[in-house]
Amino acid sequence: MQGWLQALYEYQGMIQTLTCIDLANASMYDGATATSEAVRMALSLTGRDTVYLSRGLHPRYREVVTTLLTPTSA
Amino acid sequence: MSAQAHAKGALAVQAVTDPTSLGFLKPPGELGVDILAAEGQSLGNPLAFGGPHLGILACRAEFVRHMPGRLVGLGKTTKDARGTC
Repeated sequence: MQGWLQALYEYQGMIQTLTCIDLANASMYDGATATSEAVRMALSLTGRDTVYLSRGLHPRYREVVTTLLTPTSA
Repeated sequence: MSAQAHAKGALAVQAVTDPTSLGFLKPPGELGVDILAAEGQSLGNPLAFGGPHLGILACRAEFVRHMPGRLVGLGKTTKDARGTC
C-alpha cells in the first residue's frame, strides 16, 4: 500500500516538475476528460458560464468537453 | 493568451495531448497557465486499443480544494517515520 502511494506521490512530483505547476493530482481517466474537468474547475472558480475554446484544441477533446459540460434536461 | 485571460478576470486552461513535447516547449507554469490537463499515454503507456490511458491534471496551489480526484501527500507517523496517504 505504502509503495503504491509513494509511486503516486512521486508521479505527482514529476508532473509538477515537468510542467512547473504547483500541484498535480494522482491522475484522471484520460486527457479529454481531464480537459473537461479542468474547464469545469475554471467555471466553478470564476463563477462564470462562458468558456472560450481555442481553435487549436484537438477536435475530439472539444467534443468530449462539449458533451460533458452541456447540461442535460432536468 | 493567459495574460489576455487574466486581464478579463478569467482563468487559463491548457490541454496537452502529448506531454513529451514539454521536453522542448516552455513549461505551462511559466506561461501563466492556471489549470493544465494532459494525456499521459505518450509518457510510456501502451496504446490499449484506444482505451483510457492516463489523464494528467495540475493546477495552482490555491485551487487545491476545487481539484477532483485523489491527491497523495507525505506525512509523518506517530513514530516519526515518513508515510504517504
